[in-house]
Amino acid sequence: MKKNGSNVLLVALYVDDLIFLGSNDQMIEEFKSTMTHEFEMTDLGLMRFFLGLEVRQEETGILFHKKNMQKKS
Amino acid sequence: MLKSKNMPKEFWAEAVQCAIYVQNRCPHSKLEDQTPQEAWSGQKPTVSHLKVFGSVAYAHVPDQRRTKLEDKSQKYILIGYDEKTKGYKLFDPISKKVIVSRDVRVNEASKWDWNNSTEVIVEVEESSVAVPTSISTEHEDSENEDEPLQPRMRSLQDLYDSTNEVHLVCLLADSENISFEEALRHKKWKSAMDEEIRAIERNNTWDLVELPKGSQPIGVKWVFKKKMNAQGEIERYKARLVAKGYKQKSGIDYDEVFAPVARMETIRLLISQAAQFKWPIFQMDVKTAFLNGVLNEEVYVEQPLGYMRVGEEEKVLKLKKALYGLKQAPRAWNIRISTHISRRMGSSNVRMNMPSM
Repeated sequence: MKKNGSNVLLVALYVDDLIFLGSNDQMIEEFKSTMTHEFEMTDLGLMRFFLGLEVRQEETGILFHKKNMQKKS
Repeated sequence: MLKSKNMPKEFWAEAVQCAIYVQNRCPHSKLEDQTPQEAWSGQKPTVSHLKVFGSVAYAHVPDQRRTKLEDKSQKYILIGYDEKTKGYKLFDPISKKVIVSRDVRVNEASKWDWNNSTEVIVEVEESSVAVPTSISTEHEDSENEDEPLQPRMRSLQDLYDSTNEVHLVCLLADSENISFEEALRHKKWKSAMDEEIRAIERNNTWDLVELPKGSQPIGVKWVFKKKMNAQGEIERYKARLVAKGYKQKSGIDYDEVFAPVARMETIRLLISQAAQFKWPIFQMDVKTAFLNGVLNEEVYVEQPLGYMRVGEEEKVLKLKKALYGLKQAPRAWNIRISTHISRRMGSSNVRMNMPSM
């Protein structure tokens, strides 16, 4: 978690998978570029799958379901 | 296996063990006209003693253990085979104890009613026995596939009597089952290996050195995997060089192995934050992540097959960075990325939350 004045950036790391979100677009872009600079990264854009969660991000809200996870286990 | 006899979940370990026992006595694609058991022991295993898992079995009670008027046999549930003696592993549903007995009659058509503790005899319908005599791995009768699948049950004895050949499909790990020699003959695998070696060398992972006296190099091996896309088509051929980490000794080759990962609760919290403030969530992943981990321990690995330095085959590779398979690879990687994140983002206003164990 990073705070910069009133802006925050939240990052979660699961082995080699990262998700991040924040209040400030510039902070997000900065974080992206330092990561790509240091490591070989794949930018997956908006989060769709993470830890077996399928997430759909829409204007009205965030929908997530675990159907895929149940299939696997 | 558990479901067909309505067995309680507690028996899953026995079911797995029993399945392995049977699999080891079935033909395997890697072995020619042999079963794994035969390859191991050199003796053809018998299969005539195999019975349906979970059936009710009657074990003979020896004369010394009973008086004239007591039952000559006792009811048990078949839960497997004893590996040491030639006996069946039986579960006593009344006393909840496991015994091994050789003198057993099994009623394969029966199952135990676990709720009422009584035996139920299942009548096997004649029609359901109509299974093709040889179950081949290919789908020859594709027109039948559209029909709804009916559960088919037959006793094993039935199968032995009516079939000459039974092919069983084993479920194995999801890596490709090909050897290095086979992979060399295919261009796609060869280039996948080239790519992996290039990634490792670009990463400055190792130095070629003489093996110091008293050190033991760890072997490496190639693992091949086909990456499928959502449509089930092959998207990419992937070769990964892995160290045989299981040969590493604690205290010599590695010290700490623990690496923290995000907890599901944390992820949910982040998602709810995003939902509340209408923030988009972005995702990235790190390619060949573990190769980035810096090693503190002195670890030597053998040169990988197919990429030996000519004239220097005796030498070994001293690792500066981690390889997949090494015990400490996840930890080394985690340390590397977490220090990067905290440094780049200005450590004063970064709060790292390590999940508790």
